[in-house]
Amino acid sequence: MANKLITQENLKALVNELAASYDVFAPKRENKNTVSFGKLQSFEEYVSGVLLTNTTAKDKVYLQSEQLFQYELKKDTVEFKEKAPGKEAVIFGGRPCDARGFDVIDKLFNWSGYEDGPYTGGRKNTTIITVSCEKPETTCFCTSFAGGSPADGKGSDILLTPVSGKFLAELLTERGEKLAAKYSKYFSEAGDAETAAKAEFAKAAEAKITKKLDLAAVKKNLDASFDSPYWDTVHLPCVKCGACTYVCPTCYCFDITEKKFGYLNGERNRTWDSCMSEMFTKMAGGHNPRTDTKRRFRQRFMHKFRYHVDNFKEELCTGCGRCIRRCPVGIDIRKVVEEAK
Amino acid sequence: MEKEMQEIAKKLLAEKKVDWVIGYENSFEPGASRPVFMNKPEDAVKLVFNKSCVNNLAVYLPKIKKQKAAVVAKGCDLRSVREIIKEHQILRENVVIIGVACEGVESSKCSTCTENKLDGVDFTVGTVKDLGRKEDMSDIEKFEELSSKEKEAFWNKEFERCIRCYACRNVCPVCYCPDCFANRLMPEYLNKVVNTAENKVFQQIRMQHVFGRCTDCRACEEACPVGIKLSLLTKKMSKDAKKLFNYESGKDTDSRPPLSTFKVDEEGIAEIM
Amino acid sequence: MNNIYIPHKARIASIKQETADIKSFQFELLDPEVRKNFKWKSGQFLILSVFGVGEATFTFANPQTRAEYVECSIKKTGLVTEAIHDLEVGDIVALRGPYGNWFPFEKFKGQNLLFVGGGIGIAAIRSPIEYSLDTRADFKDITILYGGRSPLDICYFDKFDEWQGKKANLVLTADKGSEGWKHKVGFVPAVLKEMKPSRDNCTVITCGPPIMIKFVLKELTDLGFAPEQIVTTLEMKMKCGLGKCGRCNIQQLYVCKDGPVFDYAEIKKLPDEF
Repeated sequence: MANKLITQENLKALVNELAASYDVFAPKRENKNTVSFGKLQSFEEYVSGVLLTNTTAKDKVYLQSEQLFQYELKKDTVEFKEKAPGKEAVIFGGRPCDARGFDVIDKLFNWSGYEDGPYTGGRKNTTIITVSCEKPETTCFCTSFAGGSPADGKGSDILLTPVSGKFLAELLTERGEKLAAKYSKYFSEAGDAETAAKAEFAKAAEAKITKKLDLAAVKKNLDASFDSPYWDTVHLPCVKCGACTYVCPTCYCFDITEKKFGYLNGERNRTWDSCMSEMFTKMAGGHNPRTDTKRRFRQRFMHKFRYHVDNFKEELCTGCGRCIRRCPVGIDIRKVVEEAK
Repeated sequence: MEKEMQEIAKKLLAEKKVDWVIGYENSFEPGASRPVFMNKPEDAVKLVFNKSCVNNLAVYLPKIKKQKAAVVAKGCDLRSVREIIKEHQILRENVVIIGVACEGVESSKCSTCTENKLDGVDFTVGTVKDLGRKEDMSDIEKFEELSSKEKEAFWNKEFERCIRCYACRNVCPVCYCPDCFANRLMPEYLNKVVNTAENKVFQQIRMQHVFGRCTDCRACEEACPVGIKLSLLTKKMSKDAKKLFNYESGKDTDSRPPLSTFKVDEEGIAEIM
Repeated sequence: MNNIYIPHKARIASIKQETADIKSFQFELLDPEVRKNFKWKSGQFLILSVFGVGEATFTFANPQTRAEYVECSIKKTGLVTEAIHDLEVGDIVALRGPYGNWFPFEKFKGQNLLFVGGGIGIAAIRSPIEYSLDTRADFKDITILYGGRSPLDICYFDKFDEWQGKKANLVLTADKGSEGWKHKVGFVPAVLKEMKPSRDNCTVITCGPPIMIKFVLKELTDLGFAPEQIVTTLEMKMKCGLGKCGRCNIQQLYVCKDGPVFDYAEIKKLPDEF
């Protein structure tokens, strides 16, 4: 795919123009401590200085509460109504780990012989423009994953990397090329010098990542340690809240519930759910295979680094480190899986 | 101070006086700490205490059940420990309280902290000082003066970004109900859909349930991944508990929380009829 | 949009009270095109929608050879099942499916079949029982051992004559007998032991409460049955039913996608606790 260049000025103008006709979601400041993906009215609202937002852009495509359909009971039948497709969206300013998260869950929503219409419909309508990371944090570990890097384009439609005072814009997919073609006045051709500069940038950023997991060893440990007493003690500080699952770019587990509007109509919704919740596996009648907290804790790590690998040949994690930062008690996913034995 | 704490913990574990010591250890980066559970004397060297030790470790006490645990408690945490003992979630003889003479951690509550005594602890680490700090309700008073519409707009904006992760509930020392209303299907108090209205209902009911038992420890606000200003609610509740019932939570282990008692003539509440 | 969560509209055609808390429902799909193309195999399950309340998972109680209606036998246990029990004939519901895998009858051809069911578990194996009776020539001896807590907890009395008529040996038992109960009294595993089924050329299909399964398994192993000869259907809480919501997993297997039918050789590889 092609490489283009875009100046800071042009990027600003491009985003402003996009905001007029698309729903543009980018990091916005909510308060002193919180930066989240919000709808941009103009480029000024975009917070570029923060490495990672508090929560992910996942909920812009895979909505936290999604209406699957509305129903209305009529004489001897029922009618279903689906919501109209949303506006085309652009997710701007996410990081490679955020984009990679979409790539991982795309595969799930197309798996098991069923294509998940509510997800894939929104996904087709979304263009992802990612900005490479210059200064990874101590909690970042994206390089542990195959091809993972602070400057990697997996899952992105366009990857922007700062080079020589401008941005190298790699158009990685058809959707990315389409957008760049539509707004071609903002882009210029990139040369070998810029491409080389990007490689330097990537190398420098990767070198700043302090921790790299040996995932083959982790898988082996997890395969062997299901019944290990390790899990009896490592789960103790965890308060089983679920914050980690909601700020994760790859956690996808969901619930399907009903909401009544009146006697005859209502809606069926899909909402995010967390394996950390007591209700997750609780059946009517009271039986709950994961009733105690140790089993729920173990399930999360096993799912991410063992079960998902068995089914998809890749981990259900992109190394963004949000779970480590947002965990109220500082549980470090890297430590938990590395020390499992 | 750390060495003193480590010695106490080591001795408690070596003499098998407790099954667990719950304290703080170094976390994923320098300057960060997190809770740690230890059951072996040689692990005691992991214990630290510094400005980053913000977590309220009392939240773990209702979970230790029949075991014995030692818990590191700052003055503010101590109030939660007392509440939990008061509510019979743990027997006093099953807890060893390692009080810490804290001069402040990285939290908004420290500048107005008046916990100058560590009454009822089993050990005191460090020297307790009166730091001359005073309670300050000016931010609450300012908020109270806003109109209803302004208050509603403020809370709508806050709860718009709530992701219903329940971190606030799970880190709260007095939210220990195994059958939380938020989980119930029959009847359904809270719909699973996440939107501003449902999010507000969750927090409103939770606040009602913890009124008079909450010690304004700020664990909920610190835990919130999206920075919702829950301290406005918890601080207001402690103000109201004082005003309406002349009650401060966590000061002793005998007095009853105001919503668990009933008096025909409450001094703080005006007669409606 | 390819919305896989939109269910097929259906009407309740009939309701039969089997026991105090179990009712059998027959559902008629409203759309004739859907009705024509809706086919399932014994062992699969469907997800039933009760509008205003939610969805719940049930196994097809009738086999594909008797597909005029979709039948489910439902025990009143929780939110959705209580609401289902309050419904009447003619009420509108919806269902989606069929999901999951099925009993591999091609593998059992020419064999003796032994069905062991307990309690509401009989609903899960009624479908393979009737399928095997409808294709009677494919199998040798068919024996059905079915037990309930008490005579009042036994379902499908109206079917027993038919089953025996199609040359199945039927053994009924109740944990606790009562006046007028002419059949056996005793726990299912104990009766099984008494029966001494031969393991030669035999496949066992069993479903029931976990405690019954545990002891049935023990008896069968003592009688020399190999794990591959014993087939069951597992249960976990489900929501999507099609391998996406992530909750029904037992390690890397999803009960909705890789099951619910498993044989014991596969189950032995899984841990006791999930």
